[in-house]
Amino acid sequence: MNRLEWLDTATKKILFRPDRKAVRKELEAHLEDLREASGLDEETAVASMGDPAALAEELSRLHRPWWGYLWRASQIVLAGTAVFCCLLAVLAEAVCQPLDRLGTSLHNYLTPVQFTGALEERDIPAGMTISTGGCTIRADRAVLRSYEDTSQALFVDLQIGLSWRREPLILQNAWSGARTNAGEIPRRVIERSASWAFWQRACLSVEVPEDAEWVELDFGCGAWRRTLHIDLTEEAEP
Amino acid sequence: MAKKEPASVSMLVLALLKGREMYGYQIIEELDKRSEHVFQMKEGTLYPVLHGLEKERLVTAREAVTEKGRTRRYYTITEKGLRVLDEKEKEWRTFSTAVTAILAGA
Amino acid sequence: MKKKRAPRPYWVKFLRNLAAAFLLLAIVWDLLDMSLPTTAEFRRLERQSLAPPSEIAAAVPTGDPFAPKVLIGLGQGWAVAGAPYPLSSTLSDLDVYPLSDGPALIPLPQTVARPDNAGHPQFYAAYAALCPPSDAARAVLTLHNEDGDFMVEGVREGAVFLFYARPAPDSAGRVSIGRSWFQPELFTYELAFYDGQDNLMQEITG
Repeated sequence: MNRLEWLDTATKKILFRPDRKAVRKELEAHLEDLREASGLDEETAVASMGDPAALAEELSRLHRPWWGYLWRASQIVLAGTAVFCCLLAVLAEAVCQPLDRLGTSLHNYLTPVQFTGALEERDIPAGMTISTGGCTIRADRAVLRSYEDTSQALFVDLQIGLSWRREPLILQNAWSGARTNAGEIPRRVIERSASWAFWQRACLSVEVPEDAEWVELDFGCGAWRRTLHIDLTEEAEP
Repeated sequence: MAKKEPASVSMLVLALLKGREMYGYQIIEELDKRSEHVFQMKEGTLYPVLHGLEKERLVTAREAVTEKGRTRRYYTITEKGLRVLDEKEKEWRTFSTAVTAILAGA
Repeated sequence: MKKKRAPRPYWVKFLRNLAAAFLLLAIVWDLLDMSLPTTAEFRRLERQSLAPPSEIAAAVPTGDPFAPKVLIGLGQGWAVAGAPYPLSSTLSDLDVYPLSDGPALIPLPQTVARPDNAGHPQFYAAYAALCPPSDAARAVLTLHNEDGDFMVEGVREGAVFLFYARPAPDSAGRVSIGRSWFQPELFTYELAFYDGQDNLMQEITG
């Protein structure tokens, strides 16, 4: 029997290929060491290594293929997942939403809205925070603007801290009501809403009658309902 | 080597590896030398034992390339291996003391 | 002598690969704002609307494979109707309706599908009557919008009555369901409940 035959016979019962190759390599190295040290020719050296079939039995019992197969399977899963994610990214880009959303949304978030056309502007100190449904809503500042047609509108800047889920609020729904001392305010306008990471900024506006002393904004419904109260009669510190 | 007592085979291999790391052929040579040709292990016995020890984490193996470009697998004993060797040594000493006592006669 | 470290055993590599695959999925999932199946997406819409989790009263199939169901949820004093779009949350839709005592009618935010006699799906605008009187056996909705007046018999679905309505097909046989079917400001209605003996129990208008 020559060297290659012996090696093949001795390792052929190791089913998982990488294992089989590794053991074969080790045995081959051993054979070479043996030949080098003893100076025997190949046939004799191989013969002195012993019965390859018996060795094959022992080795196969030790080198079970299952974990190897599982590892191979996990490699396929990982490769498949990588391909799937790439496809998803491409598909989503084409069909649903652009991937550079992260960049643009930060830009939107940081860019303030400009309001023009007001005859007069008055800063209202707001400084109130409510907490509901895992989010915190803080009224940063409010501005009361009067217009030529004698109407006036209150613009409220909100800073919303989102929950760990990073789900921006749908303000059409979350902003559930508004009223002044004169009654409910039917017209409510969301001037802007932008979110980035864990924060959302919004500017809400309501038309307020002349004699309004305060404005209340409702957020949420049921057990999550909270109200933000803004006093219009207070003067802001200069 | 008697196949009926593989426990002692693994004990001897572990004992050899206690000193330093060795590769397959080296182990057979060293065993032959130290036992003064009493134990001449066959490859068919050694490799199953070595791989078995590796599987049970009594030894670890790593590959190294010699200057001649040959790749060899070096086996080193582990902490667990040292502990098991200790136990087996104790068992063996108990065994051999008992045997010696019996043979020494009444 | 160049040495190579002992290779990691297969089970370690196996677990590592699975963990990596999972991580990859999770990152892409989050990055693309992917949402979980319909109910989870519905719950997310509720959270984003600051509506506490409601009890789902009905799930109406829409016939749209991408937005398979419209879910109607009832809370204490409010109701939600949502059309979750599991693949893309920006297309999901949820409306919140405050409820006072007694029955109420809400439109569903998306067209729904019902098979006709031949088994082909036909699309309808749908409405739900919430909190009907407890012994009501029948409900009839009369709807008035820009396309005309429509009288629809209610189908009981658990605790609510569902109404399916649509305009007549045009000369080409097409049916177009415009905004006036979905927005409460654009339609008016009478909703009548009858008991088992066909006596009128209650009627509400809106």
